[in-house]
Amino acid sequence: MAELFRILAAFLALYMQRITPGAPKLQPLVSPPTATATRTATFTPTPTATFTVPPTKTPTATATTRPTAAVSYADPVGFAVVGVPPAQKLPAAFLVYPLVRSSATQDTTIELMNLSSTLVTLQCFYVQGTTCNEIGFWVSLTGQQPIAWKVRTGVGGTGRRVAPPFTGDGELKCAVVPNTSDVSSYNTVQGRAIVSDTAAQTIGYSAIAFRRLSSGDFTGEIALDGVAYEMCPDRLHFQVLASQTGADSEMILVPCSQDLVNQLPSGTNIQLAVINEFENRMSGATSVKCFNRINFSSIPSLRRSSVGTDTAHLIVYGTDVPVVGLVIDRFKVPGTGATSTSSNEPNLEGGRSAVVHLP
Amino acid sequence: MNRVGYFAARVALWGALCALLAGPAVAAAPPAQKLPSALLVYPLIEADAVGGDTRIELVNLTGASQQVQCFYVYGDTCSEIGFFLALTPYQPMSWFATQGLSDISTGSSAPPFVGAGELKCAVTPPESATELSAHNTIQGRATVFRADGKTVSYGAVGFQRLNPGPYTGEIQLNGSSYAQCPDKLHFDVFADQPTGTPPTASELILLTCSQDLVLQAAKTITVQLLVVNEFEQTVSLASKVTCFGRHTLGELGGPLERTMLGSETAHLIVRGSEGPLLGLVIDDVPFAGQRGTAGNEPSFQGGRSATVLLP
Repeated sequence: MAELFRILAAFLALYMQRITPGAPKLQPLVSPPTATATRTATFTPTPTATFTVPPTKTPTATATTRPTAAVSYADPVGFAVVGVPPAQKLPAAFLVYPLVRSSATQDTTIELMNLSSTLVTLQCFYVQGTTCNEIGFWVSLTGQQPIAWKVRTGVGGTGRRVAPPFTGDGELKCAVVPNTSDVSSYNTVQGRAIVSDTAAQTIGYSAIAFRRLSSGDFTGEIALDGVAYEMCPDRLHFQVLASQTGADSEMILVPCSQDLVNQLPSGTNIQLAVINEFENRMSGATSVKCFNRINFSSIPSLRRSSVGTDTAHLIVYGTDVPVVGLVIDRFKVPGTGATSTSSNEPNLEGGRSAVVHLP
Repeated sequence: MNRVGYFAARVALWGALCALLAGPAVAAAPPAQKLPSALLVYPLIEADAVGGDTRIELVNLTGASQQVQCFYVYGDTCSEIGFFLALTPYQPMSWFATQGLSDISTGSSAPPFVGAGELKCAVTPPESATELSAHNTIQGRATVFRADGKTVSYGAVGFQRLNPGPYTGEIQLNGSSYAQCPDKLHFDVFADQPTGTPPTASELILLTCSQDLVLQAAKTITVQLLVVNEFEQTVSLASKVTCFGRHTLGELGGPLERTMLGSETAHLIVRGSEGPLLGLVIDDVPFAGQRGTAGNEPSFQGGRSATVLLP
């Protein structure tokens, strides 16, 4: 009987091993209970050691950023796709709003939403697009609570001040500071922003979200490395409208790596691949320091006269540091000529490591 | 062997057999977005005879040619119009719903569409290409605009293929073959202000995740709505949807109006009782005495299985 039981247990253990990708090899079985305990213990603690290192106060944000992908002449940007991009629209731990804008004629409504039933605290930073300086603040959300505020005043719909006032163009980053080290305490929020102006042109977009992947303490060093947090996208794919007279779209780019402790921007060159509807391919280039707004008309390969078709497939690749971004589509409505403005969020492909240091 | 030992051995044997037959356990998970996908759902296509139209965009994210089978589904009748598209490597493609598309060089064609409804597009790789990389290849978005320039743009909801296999027309959104449908949709919405200056009325568009376009059998689903205001006060509502539903937030009940809600924004949680749903909110945003519109795509939580049958 004992022999039969041992054979069955070994059979079950082998089956479990087969359906668990990457699980470590099981130890030889002595008895069924021992075999189960051994397997459980072997694959939980492995990643812990890699991200409990205290945050370094040195500008290491660009250390891991050189593309590791092989050169590929078949690829539109010249490098083979590597890594896994961050999945979007899921409860997340780190949000990046690539465009926050406020002026005499424009304002942005920031929305944050707690998707969990517990209290969530967030550390947020506006980053000025012109100076790359940050303004930090804290936000608390009760279970399932939504919150919204106007960037220009920092005041929410309930009349309470939520954030400091912000004027100009820039970005916003918010990181969940959890009460426990569990992954479920991190992945709790989602956000979006609505940029309005006095001409009734409105842009609504979702914040780019990164999930925490393994448990651990929050240290202020957001390692977007595919172990602690999801990686940054290797490249961004936009389907854009080519620039035309009176309808000039814009691209906003923000580098993924950022050192807000030492206020060191991690600039990068940007490679652009443009494919038109006839599969003709062109390239272009620009650069970004900590925030860049680029009119399509300033990039020859994005003008209608160069593209040759109304729409183009635009692939954006940061050569030194991965980037995130947003396009503001502008076009004239056929027939009436009214101006139409809308947001255009990228599709994400591949993944590359980046680090954000928060003070 | 005593009786207890015999019983334990039988239980262990049956357990092993059941585990083998059931295969790997599938955890309920929502579909990850903004990634190369195998099935796209555009929750709102709208076109009229007075200048309103939708620019539909589809892009091939790979270096291989793709064949795509698409279906418009009318919101009022739930009937479908199917067509095929071909995309060369990395090719972007766009067309206006009212005008359709005809490309004799690739064989792509899309019929004109007038009305309101949805669009579904599935990647149909050749029979010999069963690997995942042959399925997860496309992404899409749509820009719905009116003659006065009011515009709503959104990314199509993408479902990735999760296991290799041939395309059969039966799209199992079960977390094994394809990614599951989301169990809950989370929106951050502006409260309606029907008496405000200017008056505003955001809209909620919902569609059923399961769809039988072979038998054109539309199913009605009860919708549970949970509204949480900025003070964490919670109110529930209910509605129904048959293939495609469209309501202003005010039509769903008073709690989504500013005067009753008590805060400017609300967390709206949507769940279908008999099956999962997909959806979109059209934000009607007041600013400086004017109204602007913007697409408001939901965040997803949890996963539930659904099936889409394509003819």
